[in-house]
Amino acid sequence: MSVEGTAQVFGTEQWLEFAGRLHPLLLHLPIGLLAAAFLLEAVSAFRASAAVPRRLVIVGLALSAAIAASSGWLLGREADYAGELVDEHRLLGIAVAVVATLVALLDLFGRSEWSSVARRVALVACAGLTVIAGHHGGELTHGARFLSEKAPPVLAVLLGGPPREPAATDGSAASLLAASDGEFEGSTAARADATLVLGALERRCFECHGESKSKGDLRLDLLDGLLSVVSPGAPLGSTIYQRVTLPRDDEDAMPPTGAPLAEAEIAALARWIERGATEIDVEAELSTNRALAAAAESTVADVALASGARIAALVIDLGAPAAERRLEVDWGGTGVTPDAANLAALAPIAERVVELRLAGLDLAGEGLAGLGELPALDRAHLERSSAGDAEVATLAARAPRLRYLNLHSTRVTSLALPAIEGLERLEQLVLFDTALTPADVAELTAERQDLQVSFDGGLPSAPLADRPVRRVLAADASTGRIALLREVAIGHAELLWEHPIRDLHDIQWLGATTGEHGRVLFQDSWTHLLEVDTATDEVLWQYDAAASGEGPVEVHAFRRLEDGTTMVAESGRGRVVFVDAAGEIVDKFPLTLDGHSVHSDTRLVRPTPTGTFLVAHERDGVVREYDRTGQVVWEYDVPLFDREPAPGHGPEAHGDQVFCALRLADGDTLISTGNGSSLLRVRPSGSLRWHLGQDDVYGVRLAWTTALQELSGGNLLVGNCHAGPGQPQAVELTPAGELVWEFEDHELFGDALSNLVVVEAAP
Amino acid sequence: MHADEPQPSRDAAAPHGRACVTSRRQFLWDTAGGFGAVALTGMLGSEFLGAQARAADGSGANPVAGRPMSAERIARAKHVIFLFMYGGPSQIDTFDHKPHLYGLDGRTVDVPTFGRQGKRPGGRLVAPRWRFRPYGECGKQVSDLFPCLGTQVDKIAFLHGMYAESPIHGSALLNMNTGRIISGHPSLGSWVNYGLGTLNRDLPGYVVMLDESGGPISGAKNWTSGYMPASLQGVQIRTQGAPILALERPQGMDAAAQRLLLDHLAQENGLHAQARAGNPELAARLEQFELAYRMQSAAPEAVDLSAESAATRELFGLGDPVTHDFGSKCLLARRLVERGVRFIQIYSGGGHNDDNWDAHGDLVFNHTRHAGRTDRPIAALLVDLERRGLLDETLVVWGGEFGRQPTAEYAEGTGRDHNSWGFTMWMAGGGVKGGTSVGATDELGSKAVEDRYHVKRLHATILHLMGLDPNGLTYFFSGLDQKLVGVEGAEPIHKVLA
Repeated sequence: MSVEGTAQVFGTEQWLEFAGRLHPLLLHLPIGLLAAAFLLEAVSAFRASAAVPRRLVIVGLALSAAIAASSGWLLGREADYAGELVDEHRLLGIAVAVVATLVALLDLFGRSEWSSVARRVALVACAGLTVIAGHHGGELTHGARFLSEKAPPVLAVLLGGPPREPAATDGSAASLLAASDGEFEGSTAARADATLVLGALERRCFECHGESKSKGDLRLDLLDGLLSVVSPGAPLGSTIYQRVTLPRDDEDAMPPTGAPLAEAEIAALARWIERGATEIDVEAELSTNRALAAAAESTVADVALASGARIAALVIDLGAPAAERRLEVDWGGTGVTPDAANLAALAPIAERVVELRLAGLDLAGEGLAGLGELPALDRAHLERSSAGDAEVATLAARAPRLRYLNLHSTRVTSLALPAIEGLERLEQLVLFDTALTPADVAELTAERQDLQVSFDGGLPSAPLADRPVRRVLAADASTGRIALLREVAIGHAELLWEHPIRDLHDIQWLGATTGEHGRVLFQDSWTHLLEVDTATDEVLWQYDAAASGEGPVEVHAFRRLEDGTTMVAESGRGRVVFVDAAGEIVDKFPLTLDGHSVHSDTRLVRPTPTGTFLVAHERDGVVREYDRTGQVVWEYDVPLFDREPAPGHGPEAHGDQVFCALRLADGDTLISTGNGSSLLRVRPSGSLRWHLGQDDVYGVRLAWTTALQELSGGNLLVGNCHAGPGQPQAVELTPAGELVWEFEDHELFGDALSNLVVVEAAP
Repeated sequence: MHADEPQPSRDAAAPHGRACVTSRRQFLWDTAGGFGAVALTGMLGSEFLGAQARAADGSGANPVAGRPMSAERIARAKHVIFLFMYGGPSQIDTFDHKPHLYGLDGRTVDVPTFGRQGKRPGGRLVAPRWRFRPYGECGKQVSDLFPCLGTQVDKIAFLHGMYAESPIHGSALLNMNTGRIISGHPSLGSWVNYGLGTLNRDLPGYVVMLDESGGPISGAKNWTSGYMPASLQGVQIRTQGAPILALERPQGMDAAAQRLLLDHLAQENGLHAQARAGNPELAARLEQFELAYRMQSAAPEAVDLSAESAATRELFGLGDPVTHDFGSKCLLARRLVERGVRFIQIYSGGGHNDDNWDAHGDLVFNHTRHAGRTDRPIAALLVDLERRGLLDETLVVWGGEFGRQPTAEYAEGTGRDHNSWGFTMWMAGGGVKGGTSVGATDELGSKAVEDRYHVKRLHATILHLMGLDPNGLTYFFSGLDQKLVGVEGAEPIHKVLA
């Protein structure tokens, strides 16, 4: 209906209806004013000045009572309200308005003493009428038993309702929904449908279409009323079916508030109408249902008493008829140890028992011998009980449909296996802490692959032992320290070892010794190399390049090779030597140099997988790859990228003072350009695959790029020396150049952290 | 406010020496205030209100009655163990893996946040402080804070899109425990016991174990039975000293004398009850005396952890000073489950500041500490429940009252502020589909964006797994059929149901 359409038909009648609906609001005005009038009446007995406000309040009371009564009249015209109660309420409401008006007239025009007395009497009468009218109104809104059912018994009678009878008028839908198992004529299915329909009606419909309120002049609790909205045999032609199946946003949908009826209820309604809908006498039906439910429940109660067990329906079955609910039987926590008689007492409910709990019980001498057939038993808990092989055999024989059997911490042995194997539906078997062996279990599961057996379980004692915890080996000559750190959390390291140094440009991790410690090859001056066990700080090997006295020399690169010799690049002497364990030079090759500088001939030298050596020539700004004879087999001249060289060490500097070159797994060469503040990835052909410039890592400013490392996942580690405070001293990048980790520690190290090695291997 | 306003007029009237010291204005104020007070007293009358509640002892309306359920809705969980990480663990440092955050540490990001510092438009990002590793057959990424728990991910369903109504501890705790941010409502454990009843006549159905540093903010409001009978409230049990306070017999009273006393009391109460037939409050109170009597013998046996094998004790981390405390509670929880206790809540963290997961200052110190104390015990609980065949009957729930922000709270440090817009919880056992992860936060881990679930969806899921209809489980109070999930109702999270 369009908005315009609504406007056209909204006339006087509609306004009156609207005014009627305001009744529940308006009726509270006179009640409040009545109380105020009483108070002012009392006050004015002592203080004459209170007479004026009293008069005002009383006039207001009269007016508001009239308005409330009028609106009530209008509301009462609606078809929903009918019956004795409504009539009484209407009359009382009018009476209140009349008496209130009388009080007002007496107050305004009465001058005599007599009129004051009459006014007070009338006021009391008005209050009495209001209480009764209000009570009736409340009964209309909340139901007749709203107040009386909670009232003390003496008062309850006065309030028009009998005291609440337990059970019989309990009204709990659970008991109403319970039905018989065959005492009715007709099929069980028809019975179940009728039960569902009744339950739904009582729960959702009687409130408005029942004894005390019959909206739309419809009473569904009476047979006539119910049949007036049903066309037997034709659900779709039945008003009740149409209304409960309307979309929820339709204004005619029923019930008007709350959730719709459940699908099962609607389906049952349809079937019930289809079957003719004639055999249902609502009132008789309700009382019969109650009696049958009580009978079904008393059977269970009797069994519970005889067996000593706690017997409860599965909570999901509480919507089903009482006689059809599946039951769980539990002796745990009852204090009763079941003997044969207790077990045998289950017989009357045996077909409904789906769960049996005997956990932790000391079963008496006969064990489970007293147990009868439990054809529906699904889950059995015998764990921690005194049950043994005999009890398992008994149970398996009595309950062939078991799906779950818990035997943990019992005396059960492999002798119980034949009985268990006979349980064809068994899905879950718990054998933890029994005498069975892993071989028994393996045999069982080989035969029954769908069977889930809980037998053992544990946790690794040191769960991260086989997973590397990141350790970091770093050195900064400006703070005189090389240190091994353990990363307890990202950005938070624990110091494992440190050693003083004076100069350093290279470090090598040689492998684990004890725990998280290992052997480290490093230098503490430009000529002195040493191998130390970080666990003990013991020097295992050392070599001093200056000892031979062959002229000025500085060492900026060294590496322990697989053959046990140590490669040492001798800057100033223009050669690479190979030193054995005794400190003797066993091999060497010359370097190709454009110029000479003791300090800058070389930076790092890294062996390649093919046995060659990649040498970073800082002074020349060139990377050269040598074979073991000193032949240059590959060369790359580091470009300046069209930027003028600039002096310094920090991010402002620029040059081609290359620090490290690393052959990657795919044959590319990764180059850190030192004061070029960049990383280069060069193809074997010498062309540039990519160039990561000074500001290409988000949030990081690269300064003097130093030592390189390729981590196991393919990530690249690069030192970021002289970058200044607030900048990381080393960064880990994905192969695509995305930052994933930063190292920043300005307490142990300073602005000249040149070398950092991530130790990934498990300790 | 009203009380203050009449003051000036009263003072002003006095100097004039008027006979009538009550001004007209003041009279009206007082009268109005008087009415209000009378009405208020009436409304607060606890007996009046208490009488409105329907009995939960079985004689009243059944909470699930009349709501037919389809056959596939099979209840599996009989017990709940709720591991409450008080203070709010950070999701991006525990189970909500955000690999792209690691390179963004310290960068300023425009991400709106709402915590105890109020609403902020953005801030300094604190990248996760722990590495994640894949675990189990499902390959779930778990941070190095939980190396033991990581091995159990195939039992766990993670909810990454959780959100709550308040970023403040007190109200958020109530939100998580009672469904509302205001006090006075029954807690989840009360609802479960109300709906299902007890399994053990000798022990309470609802047990709470607090951290040794103290209870959470608002204390007992978090395990109250609200407007339900007091028998449904949580009972504190301790792993050291007397398990239940004020339970022992007083000196000079032996069991026989106590029995005699109780029998006599029952007799007297029986006479009292004759005139008050059908009063559930009275019956409940009588039953409490008897329960306490039975608990005196049942409780010491239940909490006796020395009855456990050395291997089990070691599994739970007993003996290790870091894990002993929480491990004892987890082990005790398993023993209580075996003895039929319906709902057990264990608090990790109590008191203030870094005594709980509330990492405002130093995230690394805080989370290392609390994860270190709980990782092994929680993993052990899952392992032990499974090998004893109890995991499918026991629902384990893990989580705090909210999560934490991806940004820093202060200019310095790694502390994170509260975040109720998105956080992670998980459930295991009890009919939950293990090895699953549902929902997601945005790329910063700040706000739930996918499969967003309000706390009440979690509550609905727990009730559903226990066989209860979350929208049908009602308790009549204050003129309303009250529900744990509120008047609007809530659906279970179907994606995590096995």
